[in-house]
Formats: sequence, C-alpha cells, structure tokens
Amino acid sequence: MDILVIIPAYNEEAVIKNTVMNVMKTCPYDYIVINDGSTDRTLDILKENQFHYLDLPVNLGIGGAMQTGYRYALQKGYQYAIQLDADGQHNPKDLENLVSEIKNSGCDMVIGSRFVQKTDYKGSLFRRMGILYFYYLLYMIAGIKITDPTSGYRIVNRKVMREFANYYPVDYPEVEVLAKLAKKGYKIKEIKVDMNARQGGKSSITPLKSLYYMTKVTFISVIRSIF
Amino acid sequence: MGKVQIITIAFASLFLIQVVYYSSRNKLRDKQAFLWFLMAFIGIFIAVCLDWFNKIAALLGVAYMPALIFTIAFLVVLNILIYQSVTLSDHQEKIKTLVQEIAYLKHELEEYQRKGEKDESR
Repeated sequence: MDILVIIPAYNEEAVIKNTVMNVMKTCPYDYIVINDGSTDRTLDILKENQFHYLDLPVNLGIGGAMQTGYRYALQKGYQYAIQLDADGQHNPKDLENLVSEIKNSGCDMVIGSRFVQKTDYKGSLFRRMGILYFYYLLYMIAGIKITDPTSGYRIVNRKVMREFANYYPVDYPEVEVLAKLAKKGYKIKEIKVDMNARQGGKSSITPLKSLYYMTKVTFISVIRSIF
Repeated sequence: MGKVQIITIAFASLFLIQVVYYSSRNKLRDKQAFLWFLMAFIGIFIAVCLDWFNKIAALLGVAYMPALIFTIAFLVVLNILIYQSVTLSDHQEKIKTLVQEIAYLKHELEEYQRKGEKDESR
C-alpha cells in the first residue's frame, strides 16, 4: 500500500482507540500514530491494542509530530501521506475522496474543507472569523484561495513530503505551509469533507493561544513572503 | 588615574578572569569563549581609555560620557542576545531532529524484536 495515514496524538486517551479503530475499519491504508510525548495513558492504549505508533520521548508540538510522520512516510517509501487528527473530528469516510482526488487531479496537496461546499459544520463565530482572516491573508501573500486554511485534514504527495521533511513549522503549521507551498508553485486543491465535533478529550486551543496563533502566523507568513 | 577608573579596570579584569575560568573548565565552547574574551578585552580597553571616550563623546555632541558608553554597551548586548537566540533556535531544531530519529529507531527496534520473537516461537 502506498498511502500512509498519520495520526498525531497528544494526551488523547479518551479517543485514540476509537479513532484508530475507525481508520482500520473504514480504509485499507497503512497508518501510524505519532505519540507526541503524551503524559496520560495514550501510549499504554497504543501498546495494549498493538497499534502502529512512533513514540516521541518529549513533546514536540503538532508540527514536530507531523514532521516525524512525514519523515517516516518518506523513509518507508509511501507515495501519499494523510494527516488525520486523533480527536475524531476528521471523518475517515472522507479518506477515499481525498485519495482519489489527489490521484486524479495531479495536485500536490488536497485539503478537506468545511467551507468549499455547504456542510453541517457549525463553528463558533470567533473561529469562523479567524478562518476568514486566514483566507484573505493567504490570498494577499500567496495569491491562493483556500476556504479552510486551518483544516488539518489534508493529503500530500511525495514531493511535498520531501519539503515537509526539510522544514515544517513547529506550532500552528497549517496556514504557514500553505503559503510556502503556494509560493513554490505547488498545486493545492480543496474538496468537501464533513467534520465531527471533538469526540472526547480537551482541545489545547484557548482564546489566548488563538490570538498568539493569528499574530504569529501573520508575522511569519508575511515576513517569509517578502524575503 | 582616578578612583572610578581603577574600580572600572578592576571589574573589567574580574570579568576577564571569569571568562578565563569558564573557558579553562570547558564550560564555554571555543566560539562562545572567544566572543566573551573579546567582550572582556573591550571592557578593559574602555576602562583604561576612559579619557578618549570623553573626547569622542564631546566630538559626537554627547554631554554626558557614560551615556555614550551605556548606549554602545546596550547595542552590543542586544546583538549578543539576538546571536544567542539564533544559536538557541538552531539547537532546538537539532534536538527536534534527534527526537524524531530516536522515535523512528525505537520503532524499528521494536519491529525487529517482534519479528525475532515470532521467528523463535515457530
């Protein structure tokens, strides 16, 4: 099989088993869970159930964990890698669509979007405003229109994996990597996906972190788009 | 030589001794040790040539000479801080790569062990 599903997990003891089981049930692809230095029982659950996993001895953040997955995929010779969040928000039934789209369209990255077509997704007003802000920011600095730039549900080909193995932002990487890829001429496309509410555990994003996220991503993306 | 100048030279010399001490015990790596040696010598040079700075300050139109020294010192320290931040970021990146490699090697080792156990049980 030439497709790898990468599941980054940090303190996801409440949901990790269900998420991995769902992936195993719904699709024939290989998967790897990246345990990002969890301090709860996530690692025990991965061991008990004999899931495939990589165990990071310290917490690297979502970017470091995802980069580990991309490097693993490269080393093992996978042609495509998909990010799927451990919290159950990404529905594995959309995996097939992401795979067929990247194979048929010849794009380098396909993003599962909540907004490219109407879905049942109902996020908070603040979150929607943030997404809209990043939509315009990306359009201004990289000239691409991505309706759901913060979506982590994405598939990339081997060319992009190589880029990510060399550089991947440590925290809040989603928007920054889109700007970088677009500037380098990679083709990015969106397709509609349904996203669930978080199936358990606690989100690590607080209002203060969101503010930091927006400021940091804006600063870094603008600086790197100019120089 | 005034009292202030003697005290300044003494403090600058103490700083140089401190740098020599850390360098000799390998607590400062070569590159860092060199940087601090340079700083210590500049400190002693300024302490010895305080009169020159009075003239330079007057030439630049700075009425109070220590203000000139503080400004220069502030800019130098700021530059050192940025340099240290760059070094720190570089180290963070290297540590991240090492952590990722460890995780990968651990995974490979466990796979081999599992395979070995399966072969033995056959």
